[in-house]
Amino acid sequence: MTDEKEFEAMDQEWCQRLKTAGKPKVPEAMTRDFAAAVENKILEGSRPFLPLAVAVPAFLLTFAFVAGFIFWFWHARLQPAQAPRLEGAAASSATVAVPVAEKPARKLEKPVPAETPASMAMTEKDLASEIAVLRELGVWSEEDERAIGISLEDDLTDLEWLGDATPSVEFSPKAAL
Amino acid sequence: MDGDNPEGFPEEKAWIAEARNGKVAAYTQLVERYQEAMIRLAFTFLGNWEDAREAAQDAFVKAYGALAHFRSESRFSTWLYRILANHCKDQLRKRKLRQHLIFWQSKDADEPEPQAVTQSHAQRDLLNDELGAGIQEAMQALPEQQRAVFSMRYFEDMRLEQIAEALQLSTGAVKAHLWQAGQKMKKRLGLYMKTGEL
Repeated sequence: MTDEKEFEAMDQEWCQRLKTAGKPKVPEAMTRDFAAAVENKILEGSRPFLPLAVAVPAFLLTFAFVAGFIFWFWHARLQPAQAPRLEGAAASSATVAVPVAEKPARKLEKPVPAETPASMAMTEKDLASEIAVLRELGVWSEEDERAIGISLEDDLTDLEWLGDATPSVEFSPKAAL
Repeated sequence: MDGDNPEGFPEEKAWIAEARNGKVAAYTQLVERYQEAMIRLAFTFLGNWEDAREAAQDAFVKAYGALAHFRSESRFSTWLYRILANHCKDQLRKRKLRQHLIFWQSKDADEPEPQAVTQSHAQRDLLNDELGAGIQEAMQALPEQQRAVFSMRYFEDMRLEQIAEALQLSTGAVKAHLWQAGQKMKKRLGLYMKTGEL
């Protein structure tokens, strides 16, 4: 490149020549609706993918569905043992389990003779009648009486007395005939 | 347009302020003012009026999105041309890559004529001006940077400093490109110069 003066001279020359020739004309078709097209592109770019009126309800619906599913999963799967068990109910998902904390802890205790319930206690009557039966069968001896602490003579009195109270089978030849 | 008013247009500041607040209608005023210059400059880069229109529109849209970054110290037109120049360079890079791929895909085919020159021939009737067509054809033969500098200086009346800012070059580099472009154009348009048409 030469010096500054030559450059300025060339620059001025081209300015004059091309000013006379005019700028290259832009075809009218290129400028038609140009500004409107730019405006549309700008507005399209600023528009959200989904309109707000659609996006918000869709989001809320999805959120509600997910929340409901999570609640159901937690309630049905993760906490089945917390429901109390109903007596007499068939085994099903409706069974309510007893809270684990409320179940009594099992303790290992020294075995003690089970106490005979009062309803099962034998009366003296029953005991005497049974002894009488065993004596008739010949399997009841004096030793057995001594073992339970009962004397024979006393029992006879009781048995006679019991015999009046208890219905006995009378052998009657007349009845048999 | 820039040469008539070196300080720029005062009403542009109000339009830019309104456009920053989201008023697209205010930005449209700026578009209408600079649309022709932008299309013409884009044509300088791309050599195709359709591509130039598309590139100019894209540049305007980009500029709207970047309005927050526009500094009032520089002129709006210079900032706009800078966005357009970068966009056109991207388009040219893509075009060259496409042509390169096409060449390798059809090895037996002759190397296609560059689209810029083809379109210059096709646009000759559209221009309806032999001199104008000659100028355009000569410009298309220039390298990309020289072509852009030549067009900005003599068709858009931009100062050297503005060209340097728009193309992100130094003022010295702009002068160098302008000098070389001027010499080449003189050689190509010698006939028009001799006959006094240019």
